[in-house]
Amino acid sequence: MLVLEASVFVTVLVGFLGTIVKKNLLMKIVTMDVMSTGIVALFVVTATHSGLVTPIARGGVFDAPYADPVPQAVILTAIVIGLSIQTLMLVAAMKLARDNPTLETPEIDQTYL
Amino acid sequence: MTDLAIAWILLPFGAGLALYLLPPLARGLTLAIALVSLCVGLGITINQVNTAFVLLDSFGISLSIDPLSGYFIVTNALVTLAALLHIWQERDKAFFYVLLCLLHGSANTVFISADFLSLYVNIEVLGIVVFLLIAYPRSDRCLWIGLRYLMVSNVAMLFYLMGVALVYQTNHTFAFRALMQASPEAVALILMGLLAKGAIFISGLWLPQTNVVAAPIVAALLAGIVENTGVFSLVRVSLLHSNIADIVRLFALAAIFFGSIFALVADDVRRMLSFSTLGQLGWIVIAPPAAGLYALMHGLAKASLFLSVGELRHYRLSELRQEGLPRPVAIALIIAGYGIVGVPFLAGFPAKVLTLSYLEPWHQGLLYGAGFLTATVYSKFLFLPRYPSKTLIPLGYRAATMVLLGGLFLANGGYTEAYSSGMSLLRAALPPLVGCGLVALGVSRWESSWRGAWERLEHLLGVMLLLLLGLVGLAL
Repeated sequence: MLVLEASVFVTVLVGFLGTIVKKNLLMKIVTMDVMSTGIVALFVVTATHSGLVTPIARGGVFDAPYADPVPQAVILTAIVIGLSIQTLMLVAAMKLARDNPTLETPEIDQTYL
Repeated sequence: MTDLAIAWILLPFGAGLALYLLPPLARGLTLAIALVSLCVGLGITINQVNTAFVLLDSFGISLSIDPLSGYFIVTNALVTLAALLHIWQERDKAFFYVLLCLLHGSANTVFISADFLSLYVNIEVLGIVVFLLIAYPRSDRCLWIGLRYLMVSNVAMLFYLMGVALVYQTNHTFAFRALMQASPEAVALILMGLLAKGAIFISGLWLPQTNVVAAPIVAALLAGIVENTGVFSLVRVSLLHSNIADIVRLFALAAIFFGSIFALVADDVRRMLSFSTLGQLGWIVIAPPAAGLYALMHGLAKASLFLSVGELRHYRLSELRQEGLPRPVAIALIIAGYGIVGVPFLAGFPAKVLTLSYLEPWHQGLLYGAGFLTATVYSKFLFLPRYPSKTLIPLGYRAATMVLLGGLFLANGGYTEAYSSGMSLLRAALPPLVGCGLVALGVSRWESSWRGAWERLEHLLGVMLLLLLGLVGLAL
């Protein structure tokens, strides 16, 4: 469990550092998605703290410690929001690519800031 | 009560979606929504409504309505109303009305939500709407600034979401009060997300250039509604525990001086106003119990300042000093500016007295000193040459300014006790006088067109990492 949690945090950190280090706008958007994947995984790992099986009652009783469905349910909202923001950013990057074919953020910053 | 509240929340969203299909209804429906929210907000504030309800289970959405949310809802309603009046004559902007409705609705929901997850969802919806508003003219520059905003806000909210997961781990609930038992890392992550969204101190450096590039009406919406949502969440969180309030106060103090000093040396009116916003947002969060009145005052005054700036042909102060500005616009700028400075009979005065009354003496001294800086910034408007307007000032602008400045006068009623002490009246008169004196002596010539490298995307993101490390240190 500890290994799982550690790798989740590493994923988030790698994703975040990628948004800073990568110069290309597309890479920035992709690394941001890596970061959000890490956070989705964190919610899933959180859910397994109480057990691993799906909460299905057999004969009216829960016979094994089951996974918490709440974090898994709420993270769906975050996944949808993440997808829509991702799409918006990619559309904007597409439009920007016409005049800035390299999509290097420092150059774009210099032009438009 | 619960049903009514839910209907009121859903109304703007339903209207926003319907408007897309029925553009002719746009103006009427948006007006109705703003007026309903105004009534709801005033009702909550005047009757001191204080209720909380949980929908569904203990994990479900919980809402809490108190006078603090009332003030923010009134601000939201008045700014939406002013924006609507400003574009009233442009019938063809159906998509703009849709965005206005969605912005209004999601901001209202932020102001009454009492759990971290619904706060997250609404702030993200708001972020998407703001991106669409900024990118509305579809020029490359607007797209880039919008994209930058979306990226910074999304990364900040991802950190926030991580904090929320940690809060759930310890407490098995998303309610705000669970933060008190949460681990320090969770507190640091959540505070970082909210500080970046609320544009407090250096994490708010995305703000100045966003306000410069966005259309004036969008800048007014940003200052009046969007920044208030981030600030409101910070206020709610700092009301939970005095330790959190202490951390937030530290950042607020830094923001007040940082924003005011950069506003003083900015050479562009829009940048000056945005940096002043950075400082004023610090004033809002420094004393959580007084935040409502201050946010109302600041939202109205700043929105009217940005709308007035939209009527100008030049933005550089050096050009304005030569060319002058139309008299009606100049008068609106001066009234709204001195409203923020805290001149008696405008809402800024009671808001400042109320804020100071919640602080310790040495904080009061520091803030009184910062008041001189703010006064110097806004006294610049007094010394710009004015000429009678040759072209007609648009009706929409006049109506919007009437609403905002009228609200600024009426909001005096929020804390009438401020006028009972002659001492505070006397103290309020000093900063504007000194500010005028300093501008007359030539302080306003210290201007630079310097654009800091720290406003680039990489630096905005990098600052978050530093902030996070600092916050973890503070929270431990």
